[in-house]
Amino acid sequence: MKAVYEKNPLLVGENKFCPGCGHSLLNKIIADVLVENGWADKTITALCIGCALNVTHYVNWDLVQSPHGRAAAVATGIKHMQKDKLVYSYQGDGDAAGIGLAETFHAASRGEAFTQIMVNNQIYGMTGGQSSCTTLIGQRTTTSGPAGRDPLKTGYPTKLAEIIAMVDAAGYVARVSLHDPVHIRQTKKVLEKAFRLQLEENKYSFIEVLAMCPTNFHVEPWDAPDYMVKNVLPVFPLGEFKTPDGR
Amino acid sequence: MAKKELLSGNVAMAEAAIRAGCNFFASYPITPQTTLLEYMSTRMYEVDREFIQAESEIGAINMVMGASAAGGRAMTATAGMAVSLMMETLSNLVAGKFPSVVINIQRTGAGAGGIKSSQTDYHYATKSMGHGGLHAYVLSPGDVQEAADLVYDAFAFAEKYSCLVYILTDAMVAQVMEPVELPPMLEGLQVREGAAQGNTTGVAKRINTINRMDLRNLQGYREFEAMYETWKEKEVRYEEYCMEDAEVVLVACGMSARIARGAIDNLRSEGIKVGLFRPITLYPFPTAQIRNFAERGVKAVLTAEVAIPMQMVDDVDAALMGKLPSHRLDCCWTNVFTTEDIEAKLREIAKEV
Repeated sequence: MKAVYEKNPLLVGENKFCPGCGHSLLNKIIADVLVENGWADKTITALCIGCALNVTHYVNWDLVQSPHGRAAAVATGIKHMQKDKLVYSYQGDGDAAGIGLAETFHAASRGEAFTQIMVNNQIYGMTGGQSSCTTLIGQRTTTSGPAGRDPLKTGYPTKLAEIIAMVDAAGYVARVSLHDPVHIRQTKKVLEKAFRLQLEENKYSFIEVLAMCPTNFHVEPWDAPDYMVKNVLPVFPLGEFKTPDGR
Repeated sequence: MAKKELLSGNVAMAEAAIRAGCNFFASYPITPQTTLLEYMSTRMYEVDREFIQAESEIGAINMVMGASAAGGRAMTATAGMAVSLMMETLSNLVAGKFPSVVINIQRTGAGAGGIKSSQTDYHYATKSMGHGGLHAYVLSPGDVQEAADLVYDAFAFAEKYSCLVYILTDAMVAQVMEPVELPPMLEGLQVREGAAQGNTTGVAKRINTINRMDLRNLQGYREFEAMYETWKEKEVRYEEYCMEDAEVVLVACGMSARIARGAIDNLRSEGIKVGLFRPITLYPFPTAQIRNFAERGVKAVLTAEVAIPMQMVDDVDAALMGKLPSHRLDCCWTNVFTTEDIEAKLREIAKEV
């Protein structure tokens, strides 16, 4: 019998993410991109602190864990030493847009030749659902107060992809989403494009991935995509915000 | 003998690092480190190595971490309060066993401090490298030549023990110009095993991951403890000057020792039996050597530091265990003691013994 579908050989460990979590899906997509393009043995990831840490024993490629927020700086150091390798940082919104904004912005600003992946689920998941700079208006978190995020008190969600797209040296900037199969396939294409631009043209790329966190959205896993369509996508528009020479 | 060149401590340390194979340097400007950074900004490109002026000290030290993880011989240099910005990652470098070299050129005091030379980061550098209670190998150069030599040796040491080597120097040693014989350029260095270079063996390198078993159980910390014991046994470094028959011993390091040397010479020319004991490793501290002073016929000890309150004297006292009188000479960075001040204090103590 011919196998029509197999588990990706790079996903070797226990999947520790909550049911319905976007991280779980995204790492499968990344693993698929690496296998299909033969990049698995040349990939080095700078991990962050947060839920993304659960990637550690899940995947079978080289990983360096960074202090909270510093994955872009760590990835910079890695890439300068291993210029022919595929280097990407894997961070949450709290990591890349909150505590690590300076490292993110200046890696883009210098045009460092690695890919920065920011998984945006509008929440601090690992610590149990506190507000992030990306938390939606009215979204209730454990630190927002019962009325949810109030823009008069804590401002508006940070839209990092749009900001990074304004940076001259950024090569490729896009925001994608994991809420349905069409967008999952799109996410895969965008990641592949970012990695290829890095390897072939030394471009810095910033890919913001909108992801589900059913646990902290307080919805069932199967309702999380609908929650995203209703609440998240109107705030965070999808698309390629910057492409090299408009490609 | 190789030609001697007149160089500042900063330039000598930078060039020594390059000759030792440093192939990654990231740093952020801060007085009194800037001339080191400026030298590296041109020289690293000349020798086709990686240089980054980072957006902050936090950025710089994390780039060092990434470069080290990927097999680089990585270094940064900073000063004073900027070390505080680096502290979280310094703890990570130690705990994650990243071979790396950090230079701290001590400037003045707490808070915003000032830019004059001092020795006020002693406890900060030696008692715990950031949170968690682990240690770096901490070295204190006494002059420009030694600053170059210690930086040169630091890279091999860092790789030997998979550790952080922390050069705790001061603005005086970093800025003064002295004749230096530079060490030879090392060639053909290989990327060390275990570095993240892509998984070509089937077993991924998971570097510094929070789930590392060796930091989740006792054994991992016992290994660090054992390494520090090995350092105390085999890697303690110090200099003894006129110590053979000394009755009064001055313990001083870095800029204090440099100022004190003339005082020892002057008193010796009068036949007064004084000596200088200069710790070169501040961690591990030469505790056993100082504890042995009484058996060697020493009658009193003076510790001199450019720090108020004094810091290294705590380690000297702990080593002496009350066996000998322990005298103190401190000064403020705004009015640093002179050779004459140290001479007068030693003369006073010598009269009593």
